[in-house]
Amino acid sequence: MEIAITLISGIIGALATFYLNNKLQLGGVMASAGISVLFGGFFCVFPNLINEYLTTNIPVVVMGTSFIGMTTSKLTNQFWVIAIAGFIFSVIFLLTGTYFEGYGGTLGTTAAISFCSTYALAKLSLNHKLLIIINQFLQNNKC
Amino acid sequence: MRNLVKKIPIFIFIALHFSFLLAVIIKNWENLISISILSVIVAFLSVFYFKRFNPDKSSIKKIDIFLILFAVIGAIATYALKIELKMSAVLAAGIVGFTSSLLPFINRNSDVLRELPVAIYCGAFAGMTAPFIANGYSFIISAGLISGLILIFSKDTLHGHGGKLGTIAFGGVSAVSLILFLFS
Repeated sequence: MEIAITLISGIIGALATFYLNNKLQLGGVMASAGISVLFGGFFCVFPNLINEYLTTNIPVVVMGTSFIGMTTSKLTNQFWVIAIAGFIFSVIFLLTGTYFEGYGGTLGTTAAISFCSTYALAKLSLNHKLLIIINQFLQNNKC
Repeated sequence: MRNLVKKIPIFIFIALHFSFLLAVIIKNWENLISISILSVIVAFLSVFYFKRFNPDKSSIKKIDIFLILFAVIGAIATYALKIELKMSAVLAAGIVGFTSSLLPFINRNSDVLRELPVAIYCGAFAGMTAPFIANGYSFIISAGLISGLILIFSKDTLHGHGGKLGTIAFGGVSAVSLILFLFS
């Protein structure tokens, strides 16, 4: 259950920031910092609302995935790319555990790895679609 | 030679990302499922860097020196909020970042003010370093300084990619930790 909530938090953090950044045009820093203050502040005010693990980790995951949402719409305007990157972030976050605990920039590095690998996946799948269209075009012309 | 210098920022990002993943792989060495997931991520990240979908341009201005200073300020402010006011790292960096994002509203036509939030927020990530690693403000100032330097040299590298600022901060913190490890 805790793992599922962590994964969902990651997706929500990335999508919410991407929406604020690109659709509401708030800019990457304001969108990411705003989301971080919102979640960090909420769990600071209500520390006993849910269990200790989630109270500690949800703000961290949401802040980390908010860096993914800082991506500009010039690179991608597809929400699924951001959602998958948010999901991958949460997976790496769960696998990393406390290994880099206390090191500044760990969340950003995880976010960059998640986004870059998802971006490659998106580009490859688009290229694949393009190949299919070209193949169909060539086959039609032969006929 | 000039081309090689231009490629230094991307090599820094590659080194940071792959060494980070290598460390996570070593940590999860005995778990086959985790290793499989991480291997797929490594494969896609390799494709990303191999294909280089968005090539870099390089344009460093003299005014960029200011960005180093503000990265240091961002790092100190975040660390101070965390230590002096006992805030969580997330809330401290969020407050510093959000405050910095209001700076461009002072003068909407200023190019410098427009770039300050990025530098301050990048420094804020370095300032999120825990006291048991930082051991005081001198570590944070050094980490902010190195982060600021990497920031201006990689200004047009991975532009607009999410997580870039955090990777830079991680580079700053790792560099200072490595220097301390080697010389202490």
